[in-house]
Amino acid sequence: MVTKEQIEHVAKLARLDPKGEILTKISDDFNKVVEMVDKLQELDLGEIKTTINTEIKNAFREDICEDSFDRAKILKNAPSQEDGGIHVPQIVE
Amino acid sequence: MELFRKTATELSKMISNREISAVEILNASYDRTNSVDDKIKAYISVEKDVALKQAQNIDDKIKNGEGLSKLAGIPIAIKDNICIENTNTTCASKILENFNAPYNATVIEKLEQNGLVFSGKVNMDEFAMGSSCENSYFGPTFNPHDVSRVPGGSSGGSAAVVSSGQTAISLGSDTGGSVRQPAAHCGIVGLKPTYGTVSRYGLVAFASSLDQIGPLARSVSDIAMVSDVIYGADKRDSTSYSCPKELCNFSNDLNADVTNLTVGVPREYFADGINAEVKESVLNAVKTYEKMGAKIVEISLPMLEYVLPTYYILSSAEASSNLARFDGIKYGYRAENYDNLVDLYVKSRSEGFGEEVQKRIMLGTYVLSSGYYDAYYNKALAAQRKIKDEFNMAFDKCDVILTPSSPVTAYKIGDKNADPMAMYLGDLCTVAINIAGLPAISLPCGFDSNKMPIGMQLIGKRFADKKIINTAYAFEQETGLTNIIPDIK
Repeated sequence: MVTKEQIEHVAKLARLDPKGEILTKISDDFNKVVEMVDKLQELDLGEIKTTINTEIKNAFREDICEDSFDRAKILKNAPSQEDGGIHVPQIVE
Repeated sequence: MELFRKTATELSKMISNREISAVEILNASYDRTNSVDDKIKAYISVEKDVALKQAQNIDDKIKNGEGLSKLAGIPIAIKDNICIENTNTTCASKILENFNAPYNATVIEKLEQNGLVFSGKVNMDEFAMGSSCENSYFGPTFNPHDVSRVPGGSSGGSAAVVSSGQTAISLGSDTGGSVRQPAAHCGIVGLKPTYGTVSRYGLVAFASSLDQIGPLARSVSDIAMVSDVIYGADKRDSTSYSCPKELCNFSNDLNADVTNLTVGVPREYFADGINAEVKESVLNAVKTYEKMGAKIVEISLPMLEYVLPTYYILSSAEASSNLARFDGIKYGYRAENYDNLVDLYVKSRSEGFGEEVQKRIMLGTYVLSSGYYDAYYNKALAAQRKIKDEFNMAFDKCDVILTPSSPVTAYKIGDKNADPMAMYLGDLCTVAINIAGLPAISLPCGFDSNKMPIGMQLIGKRFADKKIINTAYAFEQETGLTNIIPDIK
């Protein structure tokens, strides 16, 4: 059983803050899903080495300078901008 | 025959015979959308003027006698998690509602170079997390065979747009079955290529080691034609492979001969959790292959009972990391009121992501967090190895594996939304293929007593994409279960 405190801790790590109905629903579902994935614990996998999903070893390429994106085009998607930069809240007091 | 009933293969012939223009095909496609999409709701956005310009451009080239590819002038619908430059790519999420893609995905570049016309962006479960296309910020898409039912997901829009005859072909993405399962529910064909054979550059990442872009269509030959265009290595996706020409030349090598083929039938995929009508229909398909001269062998894939836990751990872990980029800073939704930087992150994400996405990010964060990493994430990676080994051993005994695409047919809207476990079980037959990085294709094999389509899945070895496409083609030729468009009521 994952406790309410654990769920709040995980939410904090994930920079989320579900509230009200959504929090209740997520907490209920979370335990069901954790119970489902817990089924893996009954598997004895011994010394099986873990793997990732690709057999490619190293995908090398030449280090060549290329044009990147146009600044104005990228800034078009910024929620808030000023003088050609992305506007963010004050970080250093 | 009305134009909207034509497959891409048929339209392509009409264009090359100068019987019809690209603009006429596109207009017919939009006419069909106007008459049916208020019931289906497949599209999120359509940029008609841009598409018409594209089609006109193709017609000009044809007039000038320029050599064009087979699919030039054919409209294709694109899942809304694949970037088309200067077009909104929302992932069906509030957090990307106004995101305008500054670049083209590699598959889009390739389709454009081959003269295909982008009809619009189609609906999906938010960030491809879901199996019913109900988890969209813009509302659900409906199944053309019965509009009170789900089209499947997450590529529900891609499946419904093709099934309802609005376009002949579309692109979706498949992380755990998101192309194959909606294809099955909508009575069409959907291909999940071998991991790495189609570039993921420009596909918004859900679980990078499992994600794969794939085509949907109403016939196997259409799937082969789109695959000819989109396969191949890409320097912008370092997990992509260069596909040897003899392995990735699909449409010219279509072949319905199955006499030297051994089809493996895994008993676990026909056990209790599978609906009886689905089981019967897929077992009939086994008999059809036998009648056509293929050899049938029974095989065993006992890891099936562990594929869902493995999938939900790996995919959620990767999602929690991939979706960390949505922070309200550089692009996407930013909360209006916040106290400081962390508060901006938290509020933008909590207000911008839907419930299912938040749940999966939290599950992923949980299985990767200190104290649980070994028990969950590492254990799932070890299980992944075992699932891969099991498939490898099975392929010593057969060339392709035949299973249902989904344990059930399309269910009623709202039926499984309340219970995440019931929803996740719908992915039972498809997730192992992504875990193992294999190719698989879903195609129609019959209908249930509610007249809802049943899909079967053919799984191949890595890089045996051509073999499963040809095996599917053989069944389609034999049964005539192809190019099905229901009456939309």
